[in-house]
Amino acid sequence: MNLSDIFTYVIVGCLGFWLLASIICQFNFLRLENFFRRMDFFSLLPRWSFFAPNPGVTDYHLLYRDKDQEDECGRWIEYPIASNRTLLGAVWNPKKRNKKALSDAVQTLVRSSSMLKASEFKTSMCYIALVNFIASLPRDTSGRVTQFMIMESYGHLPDKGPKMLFRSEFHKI
Amino acid sequence: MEQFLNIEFVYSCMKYFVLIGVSISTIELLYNWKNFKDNRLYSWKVIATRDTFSESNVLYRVAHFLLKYPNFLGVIILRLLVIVLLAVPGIWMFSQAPLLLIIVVTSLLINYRSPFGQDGSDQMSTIVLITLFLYHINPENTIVAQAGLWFIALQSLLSYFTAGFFKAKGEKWTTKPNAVFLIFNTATYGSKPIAQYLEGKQGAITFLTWSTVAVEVMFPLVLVTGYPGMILFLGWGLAFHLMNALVMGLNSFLWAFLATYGAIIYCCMQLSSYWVL
Repeated sequence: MNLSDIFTYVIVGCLGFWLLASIICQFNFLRLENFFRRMDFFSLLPRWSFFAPNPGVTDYHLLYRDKDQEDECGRWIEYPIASNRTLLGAVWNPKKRNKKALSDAVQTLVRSSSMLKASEFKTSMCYIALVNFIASLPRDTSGRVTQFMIMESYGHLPDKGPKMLFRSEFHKI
Repeated sequence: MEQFLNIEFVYSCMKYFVLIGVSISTIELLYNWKNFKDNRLYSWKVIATRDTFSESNVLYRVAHFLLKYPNFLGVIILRLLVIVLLAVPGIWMFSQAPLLLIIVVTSLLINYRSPFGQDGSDQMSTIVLITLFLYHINPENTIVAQAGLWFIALQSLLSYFTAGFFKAKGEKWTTKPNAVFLIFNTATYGSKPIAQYLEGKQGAITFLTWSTVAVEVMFPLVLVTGYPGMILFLGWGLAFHLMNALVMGLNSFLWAFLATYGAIIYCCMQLSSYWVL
């Protein structure tokens, strides 16, 4: 067996293993999904269950307000996560990634708010990332501390009103 | 269609489609360059808090150096330059493997740095790019070349089947089939004019919802349909991704999944030729 044969076997074996691991991770065969995902630092194992089984049918809204030196709270300001769809967006859509990142962070935060202890929750990456992001937004007033809130609404043609999902503590800007 | 039995041609199509998608997403990353600063959305200082690696790990230290701001912008610019070298004919006269390796490494770095914000098109692009790199190490190795095409085709078919399979388990996709309307009704992935148009048209909503589930689940059958049957599935796929790009703004999915269609056609034609024999 020469070097070329070994190369062939290794590559074909790796591709076969990758495909097998991808299949296992879709359907969690033998409950091995977590085992593989824990080692998947580079997102090589895909998640192909787009919009399934329960599609996202609501919009998240990220709002924030500041408190000034006199402890007066300002009004809530919404940072738009969603943007209007344009024809150009089918080719060039740079806001998509930020929208998805905020949406992922908000979703993870809402999910983990009921699962983690308060101390763990406030040190989770998504919580810190959102506080960091909110604190970075340009402000008119001289806010001292800031707070954010996540709300959920039911689309362009809603059949019910929006509701609050989560409100953070105040954090130094 | 006979051209799709030519491995070199199929890899060439795959390369150009994936590079179109990857170049758009790379320019989109650069467009958002401010968000990679330490006090912004993709702050590496925040993202790095999830890491459990030892800081004495040499590989981690190299990755940390490349991923922090502003060095990460250099990684993205390098990626863009290499894409240009690969995509424009006549500039790079040597083996494509080193250039593809750079794109693969930058893809892995981007994936590692993005615990949120990545989507299925990034994953499919990474899969295609790694396979392209493996092929270009030695394009004469037909076993690796064929294995690569089968790998891409099966990953693509797995993606459609999985999406359909899990949709078939969801109430909004099956027994109360209004998922398409509900998704189009959101501001995040929908469009107000489309939602307004579909509102109350339950027949059209049911058709769109059920047909999405049905075709996705049946998509792997493309392998056994041969030509011209495969055109039905691939034509549906193309229309599906075009609509997703237009209505949902999922622009990069179109190129990432189109890049896999050459491999699907190759595998389909190869199977058909065995049956004829």
